Amino acid sequence: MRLSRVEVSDFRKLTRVLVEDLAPGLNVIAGDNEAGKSTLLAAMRAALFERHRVTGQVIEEMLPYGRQVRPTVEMDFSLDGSDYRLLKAFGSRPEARLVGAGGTEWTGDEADDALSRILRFTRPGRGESKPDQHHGAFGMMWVSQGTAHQTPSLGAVREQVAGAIEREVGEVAGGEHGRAMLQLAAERQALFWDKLRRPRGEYRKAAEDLTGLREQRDMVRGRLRELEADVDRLGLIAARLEAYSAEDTLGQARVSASAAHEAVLALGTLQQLVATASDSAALAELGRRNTTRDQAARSGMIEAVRRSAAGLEQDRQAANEARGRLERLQSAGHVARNSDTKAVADEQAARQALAKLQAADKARRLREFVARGQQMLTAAEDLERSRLEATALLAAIKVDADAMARLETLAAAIAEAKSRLEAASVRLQLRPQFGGAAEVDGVILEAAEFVISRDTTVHLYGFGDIDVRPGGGVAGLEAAVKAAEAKLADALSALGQPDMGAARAAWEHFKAARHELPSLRQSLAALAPDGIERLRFDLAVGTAELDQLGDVGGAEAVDALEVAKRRAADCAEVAAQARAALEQANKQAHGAEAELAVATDREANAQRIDEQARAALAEARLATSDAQLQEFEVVAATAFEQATLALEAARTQLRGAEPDLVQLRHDKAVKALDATMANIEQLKRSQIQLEASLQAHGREGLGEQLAFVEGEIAERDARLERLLVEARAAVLLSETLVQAQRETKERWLRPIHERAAPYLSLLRPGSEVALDEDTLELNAVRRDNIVEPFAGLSLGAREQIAVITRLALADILADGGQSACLVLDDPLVNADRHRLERMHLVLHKAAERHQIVILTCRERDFLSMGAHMVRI
Amino acid sequence: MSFRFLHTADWQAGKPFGNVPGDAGAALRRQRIDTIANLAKLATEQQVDAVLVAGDAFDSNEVEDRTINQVLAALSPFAGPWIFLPGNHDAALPHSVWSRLRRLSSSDTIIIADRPEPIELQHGSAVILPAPLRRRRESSDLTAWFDAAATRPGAIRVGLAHGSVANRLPAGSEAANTIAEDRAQSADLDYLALGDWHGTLQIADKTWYSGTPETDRHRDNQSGNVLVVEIDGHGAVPRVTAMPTGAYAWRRVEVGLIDGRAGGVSRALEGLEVDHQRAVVELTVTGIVSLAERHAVELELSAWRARLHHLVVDDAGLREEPTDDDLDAIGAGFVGHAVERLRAISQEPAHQDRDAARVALRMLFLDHMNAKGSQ
Repeated sequence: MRLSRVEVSDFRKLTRVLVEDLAPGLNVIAGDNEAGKSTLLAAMRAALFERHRVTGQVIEEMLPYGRQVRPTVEMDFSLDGSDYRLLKAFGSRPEARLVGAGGTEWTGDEADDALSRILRFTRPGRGESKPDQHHGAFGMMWVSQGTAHQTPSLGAVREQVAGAIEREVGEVAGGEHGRAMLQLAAERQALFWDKLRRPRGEYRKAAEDLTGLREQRDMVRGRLRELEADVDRLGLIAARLEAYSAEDTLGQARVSASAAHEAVLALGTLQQLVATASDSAALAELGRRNTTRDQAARSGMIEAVRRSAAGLEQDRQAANEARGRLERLQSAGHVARNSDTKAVADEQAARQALAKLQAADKARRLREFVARGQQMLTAAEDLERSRLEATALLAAIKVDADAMARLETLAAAIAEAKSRLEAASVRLQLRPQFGGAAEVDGVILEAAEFVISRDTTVHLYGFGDIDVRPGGGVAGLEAAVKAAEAKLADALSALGQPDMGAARAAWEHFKAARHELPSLRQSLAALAPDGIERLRFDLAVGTAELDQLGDVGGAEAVDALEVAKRRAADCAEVAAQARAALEQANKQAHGAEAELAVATDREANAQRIDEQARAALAEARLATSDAQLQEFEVVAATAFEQATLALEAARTQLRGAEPDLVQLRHDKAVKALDATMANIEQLKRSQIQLEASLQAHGREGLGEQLAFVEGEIAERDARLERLLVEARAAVLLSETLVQAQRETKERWLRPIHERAAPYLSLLRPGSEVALDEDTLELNAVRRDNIVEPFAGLSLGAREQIAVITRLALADILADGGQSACLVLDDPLVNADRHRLERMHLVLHKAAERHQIVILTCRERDFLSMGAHMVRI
Repeated sequence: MSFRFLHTADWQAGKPFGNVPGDAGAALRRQRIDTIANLAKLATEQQVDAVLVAGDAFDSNEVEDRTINQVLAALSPFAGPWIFLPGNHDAALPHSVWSRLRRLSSSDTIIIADRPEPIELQHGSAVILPAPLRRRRESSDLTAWFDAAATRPGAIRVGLAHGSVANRLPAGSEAANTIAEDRAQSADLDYLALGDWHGTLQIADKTWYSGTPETDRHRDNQSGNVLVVEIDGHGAVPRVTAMPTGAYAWRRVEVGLIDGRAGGVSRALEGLEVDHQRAVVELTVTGIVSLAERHAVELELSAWRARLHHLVVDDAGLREEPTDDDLDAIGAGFVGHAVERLRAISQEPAHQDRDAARVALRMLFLDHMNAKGSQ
């Protein structure tokens, strides 16, 4: 399509705009801001794509504000070699007229339909048409202001583009169906493998089951092998037992043992013979020893008789010697006894003489004692009397220290009362003149001083009476005096004392008696320490003793007494010596008697022994004579010799029978029998145990288990094999699909890449646009294998890439036979100067194939581009 | 006096069928016992004098006691005598299922022939000569002793053995525990009752394999029978009648989808003249099909899995070849490119992802159908 003229009147704010002589290539329609460039684009779209009888909101938006006009658009364009003139008027008088090649004219709805047909677009059922859905290729190639940076939305033109590509590439993309197949393949793969490509699900379980079954099989196999080994063992045991039975091993062992036993018994007989000979030899030995011992005993007895006779003789001599010594000592004892008798008599006489003298001396001293005692008794009796008197006095006088103190207190109280009375009394000094006198209480008083302590009438002679009345409580004081006096009188009376003076005298007596009494007691004690009665008794005793002595003289001289004493002492000494000599003689006599007794006993004992020895010897000889004894000894010696020879012969015979060998053979045979029996027993026991064990194992049915498990393994193995192939197939399918999709995609998008490449080489050499193979929407820009998402590019880059993509798609459409001009409303506002210049080159290049109309308010940006410039 | 007996073998009671998951496997296990009970009823109906079990009555010596008890219970419809020969699966080891069975049953009509000694029946008019396996594999011919085994004059001599008759069995069969092919003749046997080969087969003169009474594997060998044998007297020709006893039909089916038309699988399976609910089928599918047809085959197989007792499918030989129609259906664009790429991989024999690429194509087609269905 190529536009050549556009005239718009009364469309929105455009009253009238005419753009004509548009170039086939690059055109720039420049205008100031608000000049109406975008409105111009809207008017062109309305003219081509809206029905002329459109109403409602759509027409409202076409009308200038507040004016009821008739928005009208006229366009001249050429398409596929044909020129067209279009008139579209909207509003109150809508009109559509299209004049085509050769003057063909469509009007009204036909004109609208004709447009739809030749421009390949569809209108919405109602309402305003939307560029991406209803404007066909123009939806993509006419770009409104501010949307140039957006990815081109193919919308309705997608099928046209895809058709063009398929025609060029010769194949189709997978589309929805392909995606579904991919999805199913991925899902199937996920049934077998997880994301880390490890088996999962049924596949994994089958492998695990198989592993488990193989383990189970191995276990059962192991147990079966054990079982078979047991069966083999059982067979061996049975074979051995059978062999034992066949060879009669046990019977042979028994025979051997029995023979060995017989040999041992024979050996026992020989041993018995040796034992008997040994016993006989022992007996002969004993007999020989006995005769020898008897012979020795007889010799001993003869020797004993000889020794006892000698001993008797010796003891007898000793006894005779003892007797002689005793007799000598007894004689000396007589002499000593006589001397002693005489000394005793002398001593007796001397003692008698001394006793007499001592009695006389005692009478004298008794008499002196009686006389002195009498004196002392008298004095003591005097003292006792004085003591009794003083004691009686102390008892009679009641005035003791306390009583005397009380009395003195009472007397002092009286004196004090009196003093007070006196002080209160009237002291009357009578100093009569003229010899006058006065009478008071009937007492005539002369010159005197007296005291009046009560109402008293003093009669003065010659004067008359004077009543004296002492004041100040005299009467009380007087009563006190009397009361004190009464107390004293009572106290005295109680003590039996008439007055205070007597009392004081009695107190003095008391004190004197109390002072005297101790000295009296001391004196008395000195005279009669044990009391007067004792003194009296001692005196009476002395007197009695004296009377008893009678007249013994008493006048002998003390010297005589002393002589008599010495005499008596001498006699006593002589007597003592005589007695000592006697005792010595007696003692020696006793010793000699004891020795004699001993000697006599020994003699008697020796006599008895001698008799016994003789008797024993006689008795023994009576039983067996000495000659017989000698004969016995010879016989026994011979018997012993013979028995010894017999024993040696028996022993030689036993040694010849080889007892150790016989015993060894016996032990060996017995052990062999035992071992054979134990072996058979052990084998039978093992047989029973093995049979029991096998019986128990048999119940488990290991054979069936193994066969079953092996069958299962075979079946599971086949199943796993299938699953393995399926699992690999799932991966292979998924990967093959993905690979095929990638390759197909690359092939399918190659036309777009090829179309975009020349433009991109001007702007971003080495870059490639990446589009979704289904929607053909721009996804990313790829350069040097680095993929940059479209949305991540800068605004300016997005504008530029999007414009280039549109150009590439326009190329494809054009190559597919559908050319459309590009109208870009301020498309490169974000480009820097360098990029803008590059884009100018791009647009120039594109303009070689397509008409391009740029609407802009930035006229200067495009001045250098060399485009056809139109200003509105 | 004639001797009429039932010859059977290879019950393999306790075989677990672990490779058949779920209820299907459990039913196969249970059926082996039920078939024994049916066999016992048949023995009574046929008024046989004895039942000879020529080895492998049990799947192993290590079956559960429960299995032994179930077998004992299943024997009850026939009073006996039952003569059991230990086979290679249940060899008379020092401890075996037989020693356990003796503990669990005191029946005197159950005779365990675990010693190579003659067993007289019918008061000596018939003698069984057993060749029990006392190990799982024997290097010598255990039936050799039959030749010299003395029996009463005129007694019917029946050999009972378990193993492979030399030079007679099909190639590939197990060659252990060999039995001389002329044993019946050399031992003057009237009949040699054999076990080990699971199909019913006369292998030599007077020498038969009864086969298992209940098929247990996919092998086209006429299994699922017992033999009723009647011998009129020593030297007489035995009359042998095979009686079907198997409850489940084990079938191998191979389907070639070379023509590229759907429905081949169903046609082949429909053609099986068996009760589908009692069919255990191993299906091998080969051919080259379009993705759409591959999808249709999957749907068919899914339906057949529900109809058959058990279905095992080997589709390793089935190739997908996306057609233009497939590609048109899947769509152009990159998905079409992916299909091309996967197809290329699937057609490279040495490519490590070859199988995965084939499955991926199927998946893509399935996704496509699902996506289309949801639109």
